Amino acid sequence: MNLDVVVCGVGGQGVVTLGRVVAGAALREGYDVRLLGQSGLSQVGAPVMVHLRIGAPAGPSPKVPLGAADVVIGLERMEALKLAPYLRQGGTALLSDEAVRPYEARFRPQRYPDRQCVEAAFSGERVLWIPALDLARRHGPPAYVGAVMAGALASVSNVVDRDQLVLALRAERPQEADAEVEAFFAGYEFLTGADD
Amino acid sequence: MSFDPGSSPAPSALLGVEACARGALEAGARLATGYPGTPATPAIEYLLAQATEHLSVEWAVNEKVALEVAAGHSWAGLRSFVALKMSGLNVASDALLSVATSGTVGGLVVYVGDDPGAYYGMVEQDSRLYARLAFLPMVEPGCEPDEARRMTCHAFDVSEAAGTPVLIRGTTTTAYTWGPVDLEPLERGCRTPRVPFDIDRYTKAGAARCRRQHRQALARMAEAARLLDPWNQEVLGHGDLGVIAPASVWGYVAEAVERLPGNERPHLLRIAVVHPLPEERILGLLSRCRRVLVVEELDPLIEERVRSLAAELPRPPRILGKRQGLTPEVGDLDPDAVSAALDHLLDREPQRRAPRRSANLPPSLAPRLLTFCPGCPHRSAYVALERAIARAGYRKDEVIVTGDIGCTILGMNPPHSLCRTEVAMGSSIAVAEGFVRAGVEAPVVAVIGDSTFFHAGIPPLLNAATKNVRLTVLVLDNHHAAMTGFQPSPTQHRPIPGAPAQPLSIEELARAARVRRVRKTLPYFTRRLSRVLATALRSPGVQVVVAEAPCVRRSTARVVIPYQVRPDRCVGSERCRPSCLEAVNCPALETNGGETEVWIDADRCLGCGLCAEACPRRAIRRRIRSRRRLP
Ligand SMILES: Cc1ncc(C[n+]2csc(CCOP(=O)(O)OP(=O)(O)O)c2C)c(N)n1
Repeated sequence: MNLDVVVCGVGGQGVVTLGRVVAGAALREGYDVRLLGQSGLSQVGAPVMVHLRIGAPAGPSPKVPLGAADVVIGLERMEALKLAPYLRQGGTALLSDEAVRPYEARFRPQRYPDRQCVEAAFSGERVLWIPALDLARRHGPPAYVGAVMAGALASVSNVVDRDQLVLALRAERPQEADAEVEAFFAGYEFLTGADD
Repeated sequence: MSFDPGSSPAPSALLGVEACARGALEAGARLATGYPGTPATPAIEYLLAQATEHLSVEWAVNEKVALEVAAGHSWAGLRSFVALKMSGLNVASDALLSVATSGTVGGLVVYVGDDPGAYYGMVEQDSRLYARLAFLPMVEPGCEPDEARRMTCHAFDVSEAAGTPVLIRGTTTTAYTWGPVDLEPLERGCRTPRVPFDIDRYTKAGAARCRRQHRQALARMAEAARLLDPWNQEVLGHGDLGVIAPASVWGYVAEAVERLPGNERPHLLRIAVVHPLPEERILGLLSRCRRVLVVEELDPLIEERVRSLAAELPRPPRILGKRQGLTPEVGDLDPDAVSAALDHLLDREPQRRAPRRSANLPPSLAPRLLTFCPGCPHRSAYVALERAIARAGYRKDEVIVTGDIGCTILGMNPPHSLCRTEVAMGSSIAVAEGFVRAGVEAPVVAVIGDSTFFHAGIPPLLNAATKNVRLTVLVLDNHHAAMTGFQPSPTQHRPIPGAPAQPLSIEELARAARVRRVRKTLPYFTRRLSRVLATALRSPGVQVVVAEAPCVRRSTARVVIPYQVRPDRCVGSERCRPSCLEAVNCPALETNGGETEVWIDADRCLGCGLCAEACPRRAIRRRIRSRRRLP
């Protein structure tokens, strides 16, 4: 089974960490993995995009081709627009509603997209909104949005096992552990509605 | 799939650039040095984290120094590894050409990271040209980190066997692709240093000597290329179409070819030795084809060589690539660009799997301009500079501010909008001198970070000081090269990995250069800093002002008392001029876009207080109750 995922957001949200967690879980399951993360700039707020390819073997290109991503994950509402061309027909977009407004949009609300505008960009494909920032804050700092979205991913795809994701999450950030795992399950349960 | 959670050890995985560093470690490198620069930075960071007694790892003051230290180290017989970004190779290039003509004794491998697509905002430079310029062999790995590891390891053997430095070229994509690697044991053989005395080889005075060295360098390069040749690889296909591509873009070619039916797949040549090119293999492929597509990022270097080789054949095939506009010369490639070129050549319907949706954000949306992190001392310094300009009696647009590389350049963006130029490391000071020389009457200010100052800011400061030019140099000293990931700078005095054994002082250096006035202050004391700057702007001669406070992302402060907006006093950014948003634009300030009041995200606020100072209605206060411990 193959899973191609593209994730984007802005610096400080843990986009690269989210990629590492999912990739780490897939590696533990014995998959071949390629994770391309543009992690060179350190400022809070810079756009970040991560391509993740999981398979046996993973697709040869480190970038997911357009229209080939099974799942796209957007951590920031405006950046999420960049994901639209990657989503395949019948794929799923997991979007956090968090808005990190650029300078100008702070004064001119019309210069920032609303939900409808983002949904329209995905032209009818399945878009699931997740209140990731709220869920993260219930369990810890805003940086837990990555964990919430990893949980959401586990609820829409079983290519990577949920428990492996939890292990990988613990391995990636050992000092955070329990609270962050709770944030993960908050994201999982938000979409499944279950509490197993 | 069955598994036992908890029992399976995670397999090793590394970034491509880390895997190269791993290869150096396994090859027994005894020195690793470099200067931070995306995408080469993680190589040295990886090695700093591996700290073994056999390997010394360091950040050099700049790339030229790094390469020279490594050259001396390898001439003493020990293996050395250098990692730098393409701009860094420019800085080191003077030494590179000289070292290349002398060759090496202990293996010397230099990793250079190019950035097609300019993701990290510099020039889209093709460093393969340096290999040609310096008579050096250059190899590049593809997007499999394990290949990068093995290739680097082998490069050390080749460097020693052929006696030449070997360049390894990474690109942002190959460097930042993370994937599984097999780790092999480290080579631990111990060598004692022996410094040769051979002036014919290690000095340059004398035309005959230089010509001999040139000839020897060419011979060494050819020998290295022969030894490295097995990294190149052919895959036979069907028909009369061929594709040639360097390893860095191979993943895209493979992806595009996989989409074709088996009987339409072209003959392929994957080139890992990008200089000198494997001409025999190229000729072999050409002789099988009527048309050959060359796919590469940036300059059409392979394409041009292939075209000239084809011209030597009795029935030359047609060489296709950038010349026909099949792939772009600007920006990086992706699998879809390669697919489009192949579909065009094979007369196929486009192989897209989904309706095309635009990848670009509509222009009606606000661009995401980078800004400083919450609590960043640079923001305070720029706010103080703006106030100093007013205090000294000038309008903001009268005073000329030159910027430099690093987070410090973000003073170009609103709300500060001060920096007008950014050239190369350290250039702010010399460019500012140029403006003064041109006869600009208003004050000229150069703003530069600490790491950049030590890298290349000292010679231009000396230049300005010896001529007593009227110029203010504002050094934003945060003890780190922040933009590239918080590497310690020479002013760092905490014992973190890679920190100097002996921290240096910018003020002492400036005083030694007989700068007219040298002042240092905390940027968070904006009133004091703006007074100091205003005096500097009004004064003759070179003025150095150091605004010193550690990068907030590496601050040792453990408790934060955030600020809070009092809704009863705030009238909203719409009706407030200048509002806190316009004055400081801190990411921790939140708004819905004008109508309602502003609020502060207590989780992001680091308590610098700049917004409280800027608020004309005194609506922003500290919030002792929500004090928070940092991890
Ligand atoms: C020749 C060269 N080497 C390295 C870099 C990469 N680089 C970009 S910003 C930066 C760090 C600048 O640090 P500093 O001057 O202290 O400013 P800060 O980011 O800390 O504000 C470096 C090394 C470059 N652009 N050019």
